[in-house]
Amino acid sequence: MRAISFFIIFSFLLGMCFSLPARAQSDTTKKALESVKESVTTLINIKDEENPNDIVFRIETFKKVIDFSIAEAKDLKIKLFGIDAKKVGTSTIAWKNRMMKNIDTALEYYDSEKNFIKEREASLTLVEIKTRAESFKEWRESKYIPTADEINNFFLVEQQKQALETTRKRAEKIRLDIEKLKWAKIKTAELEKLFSKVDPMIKDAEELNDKADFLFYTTKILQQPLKEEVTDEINTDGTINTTTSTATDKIEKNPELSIKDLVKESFAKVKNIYQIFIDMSSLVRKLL
Amino acid sequence: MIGSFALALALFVFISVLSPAVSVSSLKDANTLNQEISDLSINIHLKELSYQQNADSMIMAAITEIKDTKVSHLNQKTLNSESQGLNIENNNTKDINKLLDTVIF
Repeated sequence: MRAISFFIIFSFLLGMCFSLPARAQSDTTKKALESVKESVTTLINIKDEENPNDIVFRIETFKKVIDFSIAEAKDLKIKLFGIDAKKVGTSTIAWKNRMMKNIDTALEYYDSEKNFIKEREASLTLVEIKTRAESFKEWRESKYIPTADEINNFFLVEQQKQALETTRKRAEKIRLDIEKLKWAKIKTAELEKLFSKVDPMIKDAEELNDKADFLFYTTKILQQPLKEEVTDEINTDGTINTTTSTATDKIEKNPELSIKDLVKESFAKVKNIYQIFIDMSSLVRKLL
Repeated sequence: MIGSFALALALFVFISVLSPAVSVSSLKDANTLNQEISDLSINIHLKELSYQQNADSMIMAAITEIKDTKVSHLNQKTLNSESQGLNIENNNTKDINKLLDTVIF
């Protein structure tokens, strides 16, 4: 288990080195996470030295975990505040309010844990801190993480809509430029061949994001099960097999995962489209 | 004066019409296209999600350390750090070996 912990810490450090710091993560959250990391390293060393006071460091680490969780939940709340009521429907506003309530519940829970530790710090036993940490982990996994995933999925779908809009606009500008080149009697056959791939790819990317949007809107915003779909298959002997399935079955059993995957797949197509644009740009430089 | 202006204008029109220079702003610069895709908010959000996943793993690792009371001496970080300190075949030993070889042979 400890080897896994070390691996996670190492992976985290590696991840931090290779990924840009996220804009939505506030400085407070980033600092809070750094403090958690430092506390874990200290705790590992203290435990290795068999320091009889290791409980003090366990408590300190737990306090840092709570501080980070508070900062993280506040960041998520700020993101939700950013949803413009004028641009979304009443159902989305109702969803936003439900998410706000969930975040407030999380903040209340974190505050109560923080106060408990503050009041009982001097008398806490090892068993108590272990139990507390275990409950905290379970609470975070069952209550906070699903809410955070749901909020993040909402933003993913919406941002992919914007990405598709930008891609469409860029494709339209390129289409006009190809016309200009044709008018100037420049050979555009190769450019047109590349560009012919773009429209079907945009369509595919849109379909994927529409699926994600439908799935999110139905299951999360409207909180409805997906409609059952009845399909008939005619057997060779003429008998009919009727099967009932839902769109969820077809896509994936875990809606959170499938929404994220659908958007990611859609965005991967957008990236491929931009690669075609870049290849076309190189070609244009050679032609002019 | 008017004659030279007319000549310059005629020259400009002649160059503009005959020159093959076509303005294709949307395809001119690959860097602009690269920048456009990097600036898409979804791109930033996906990086943010990756950061959050790392943060979640960090929190889980912290809680595991708080709870764990069994194997204090088997932490991989500690073991790695210790094993590096035990590197016998260091540069000094190699240098001494070389000197000894010179003396012997």
